[in-house]
Amino acid sequence: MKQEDLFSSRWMLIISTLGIAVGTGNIWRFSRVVAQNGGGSFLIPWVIFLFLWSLPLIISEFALGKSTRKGPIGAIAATAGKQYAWMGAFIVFVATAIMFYYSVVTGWCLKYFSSAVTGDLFAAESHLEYWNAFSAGYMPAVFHLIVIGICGAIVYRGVSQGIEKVTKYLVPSLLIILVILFIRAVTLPGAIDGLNYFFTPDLAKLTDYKVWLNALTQNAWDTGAGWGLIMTYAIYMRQKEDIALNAALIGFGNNAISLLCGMMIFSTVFSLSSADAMVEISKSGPANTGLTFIFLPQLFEKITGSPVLNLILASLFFLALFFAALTSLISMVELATRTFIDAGVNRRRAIIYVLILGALLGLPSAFSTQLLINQDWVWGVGLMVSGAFISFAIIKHGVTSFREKVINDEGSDIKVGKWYDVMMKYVVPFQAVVLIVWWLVSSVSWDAEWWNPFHIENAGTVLFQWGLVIAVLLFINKNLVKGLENRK
Amino acid sequence: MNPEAVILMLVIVPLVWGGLIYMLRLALRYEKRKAEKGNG
Repeated sequence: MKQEDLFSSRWMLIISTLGIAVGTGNIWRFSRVVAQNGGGSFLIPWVIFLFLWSLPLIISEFALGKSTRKGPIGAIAATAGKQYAWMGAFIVFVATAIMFYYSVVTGWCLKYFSSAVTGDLFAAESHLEYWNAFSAGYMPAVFHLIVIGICGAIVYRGVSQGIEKVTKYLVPSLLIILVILFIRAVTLPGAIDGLNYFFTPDLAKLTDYKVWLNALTQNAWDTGAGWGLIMTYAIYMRQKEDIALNAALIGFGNNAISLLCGMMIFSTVFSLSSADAMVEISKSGPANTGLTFIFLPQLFEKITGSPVLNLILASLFFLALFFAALTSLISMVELATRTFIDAGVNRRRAIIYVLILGALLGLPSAFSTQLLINQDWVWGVGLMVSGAFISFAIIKHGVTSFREKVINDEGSDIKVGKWYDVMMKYVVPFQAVVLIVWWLVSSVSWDAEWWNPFHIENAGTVLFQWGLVIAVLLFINKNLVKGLENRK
Repeated sequence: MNPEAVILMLVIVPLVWGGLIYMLRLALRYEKRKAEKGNG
């Protein structure tokens, strides 16, 4: 790999990877999930899963990408064996399926940023009607196409000239905006009530397994562990680059930002909401649209006594959301592009394929929020399977030898100990199996027709879609391997 | 704030933010060492 194809420094790698991890999940999903799972009680398992799930998987992803210099299909095939290339393809499929609807969500953020800047947002009489009118029209599709186009233009220029150059401005800007909003939020009168709720543990909730499942999926969702995205950026690490310390920086950095966002949202909502703030947050609607696009604009209208300042703060909030979403979306586009490159297609052609696919397959979610919710449900849970496949690949290769030869290689600043072996051999697979089985068993009680694949959020639709994708990938496994050999 | 909230805040925030700052300092130290080695 040429020097100009690599991240120029450790800091650029960290900033870009933090851009993957910090997304809309930290800003809006985290607050909603905290509210639905007992406030402070949720934070305890959420932090535990940083150590038990996210950190071992982030380390593994960095190591797989750096050692194989291939995307998930090639990396899994090289590590576990060619017969398991389909597992890598499943990881790619999950991240790409998320990309299709995530570009729609990124488009919503861009639209609301433009509405806030022009003052259009505060001119609306009802934010609910404003959202309904927007989401029912063709504008979500227009913004989806704009956003996917922006990502394509960035990824087309490669890692050092495209991704690195953009994220080095977007990620620090995002952090600065979040700190400004955080300071304003925690200094609002009554903000202490929000912090009180956010940090008060209800220990009885810790015996509720739903809290643990949600804590794991939230941690996987917002750190990006198991998505294959970090693995893709790790392809472009310099040879003498550390793995373990960089992985820890991403995990801790992401969770630190989630805490900041949680304190900001809870302080604002408890301070400014006349209704029951908890109800507003926890029932913020599917795909979290209610809290962000209906409820928060109402609060921003009265966050200070000055309408101009309110407009500026609302604009900053939606700009932060847009930056957070865009930096994550860029990595999804790069993952899909890299998959084509690994199959022997040049970057220029690969990005054209990805843009066409992304634009077309994102359109159904742009026109139907119900479909978007279904895809979010199916592939969001699919991340647990992706994490389990990464763990399987490393077990198949030999965990101890992987740790000693790949993770603790010449570039490592800190050496990873035997705790990693225990995590990857037992803890990560155990968590994945227990949680998936629990989720399947309990889903029977959520929906009487749990087997029906045409329901939006039930086990049937997940099993049907996963089954279909896995069956196809198993069928074409030989072609996947052949595609990788074309590259050679 | 109630005492339980204060206790949890004093555990979670230093653990996560403290962890981040510690890792950052460690990374800075290693980068400095590498730069010195390179110059030397």
